[in-house]
Amino acid sequence: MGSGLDSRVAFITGGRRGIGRAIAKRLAAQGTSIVIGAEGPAPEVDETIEMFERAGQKLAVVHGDLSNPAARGDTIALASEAFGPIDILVNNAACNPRTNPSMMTLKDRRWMFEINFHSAVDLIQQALPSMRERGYGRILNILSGGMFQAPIPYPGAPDSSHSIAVYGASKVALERVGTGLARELHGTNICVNGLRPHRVCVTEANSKAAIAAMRGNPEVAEGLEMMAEAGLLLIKGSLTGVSVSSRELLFATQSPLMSLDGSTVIGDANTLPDLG
Amino acid sequence: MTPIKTLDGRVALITGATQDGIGRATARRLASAGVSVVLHGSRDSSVPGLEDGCRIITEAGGKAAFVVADLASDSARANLLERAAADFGPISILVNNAAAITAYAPASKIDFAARDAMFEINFHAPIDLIQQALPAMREAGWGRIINLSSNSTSPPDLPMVGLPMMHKLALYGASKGALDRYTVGLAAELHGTGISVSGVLPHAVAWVSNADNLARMMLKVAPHKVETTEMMAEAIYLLTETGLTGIVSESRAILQMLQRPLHALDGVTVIGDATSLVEEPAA
Repeated sequence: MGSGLDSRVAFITGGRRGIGRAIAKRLAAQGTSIVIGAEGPAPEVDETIEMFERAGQKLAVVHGDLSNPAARGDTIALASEAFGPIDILVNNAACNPRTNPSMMTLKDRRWMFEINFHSAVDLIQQALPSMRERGYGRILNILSGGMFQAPIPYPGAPDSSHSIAVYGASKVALERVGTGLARELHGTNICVNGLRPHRVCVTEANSKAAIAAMRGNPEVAEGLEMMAEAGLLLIKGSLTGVSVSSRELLFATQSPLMSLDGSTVIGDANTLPDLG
Repeated sequence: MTPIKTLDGRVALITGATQDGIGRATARRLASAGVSVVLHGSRDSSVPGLEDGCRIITEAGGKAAFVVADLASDSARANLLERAAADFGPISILVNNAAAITAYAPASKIDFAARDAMFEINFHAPIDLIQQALPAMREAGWGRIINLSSNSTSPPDLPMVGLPMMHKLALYGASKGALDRYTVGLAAELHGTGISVSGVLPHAVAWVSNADNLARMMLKVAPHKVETTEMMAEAIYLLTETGLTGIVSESRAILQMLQRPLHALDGVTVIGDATSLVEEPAA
């Protein structure tokens, strides 16, 4: 494999589909043992288990509610049971109630910050002692273009821009903890980075309408492979304190875009996704 | 010379205005421009400080009242805007100045209780107050919302020399970074309503009467990183007067951008401009 990741164990929250699962598959192709977090049993979890079984790759699943501080208290301990201590933590799970900032209720705001922010910090703090002890760790926080206010005029309906503001706020907070943590952990070989889609990542969760809209404006879209490749680059390397978009990172490192199984070059930083 | 009452008839609520700090200075500066001000403190023990602030303002010819509510509690803050409107009518200017650093601890260690409390006070409470204030502002077709930010929203500059303290502000910076994103998002949503939403921060630290050791040390080694509370108050006044929206900016940059002088809190006496430094008071 050559990447040195074949002896590592990765825990990826929100790994049953989308960006989380794509990063899981890209790492598994390097021989990394994968543990995914999922709230509860779901058809997508079974599908993911089958997918890994067919490829002969190691996968374990940890169920738990990340919105509950008590319930998530032993998440890393549970995740470490299958293949040993966690070397690589990918904080990917997130939720977005999609309401304009003037109207989002305190209940929704708290729920969103529990999952998108506090749970990520809790998992980091749970994973750090073992990473420190073993002198190796990679922490990857999945961020969002929603961190930035959309430029005027808005590309679509204004509400689609407004309703991502509070979600973006939770990701700004997560990014700031990541950059601060990277500074704090300087010299420990524990690297902390933030990665976001360049604009919009096309996932299994997109509606047909969303895909149709992207066909008219394909340069806003990217495939799951782009995020997976960029995630792998950050985990494989030793950059720290970086907050970057997927396309920017592939461009800056002049890296090819690979298929999720790592077998085929399918493009580069500029490649557009297949929107059918 | 009497100050020009550019904001005559407006009513402001300034949270965290207990002490001789940015909150009180802002209240005094706005009062000089004709604004009736309501000073907020979080605890019963805040009352003497709030009374001092009100006395200073009324003695200078302004109108002031105060209100107490614990911003850490969602129920205690639930009717704050309604209570603040009791003296002078609905709030048209909301300055979210109150903030807390619930623990000085690095990101790797700061516990959930401290994080949770930090986001309640620094993020959810300002948003709750904004949502309470918006109906009256919409009805009036005029409103100003100013959220205080901090330069800790960015990680410390490299090289990191002798300031391990900065590691202990990552979570505070995260709460303020989240608020900044909310500020610009809300400004975008409210475009065209007559309600402006902006953020302001000191370049590094504001010199307040109870300035801590950090401020004193910085005044010696990096005087350009220290500024007076007048600078912050002037910037907040200027954002209120001009209605600039959707910007989050350092106080000095706002004065510079608008090419306006720095006034004393009486709103009349010119004491400098965007570049003025702090003179250390005699001990």
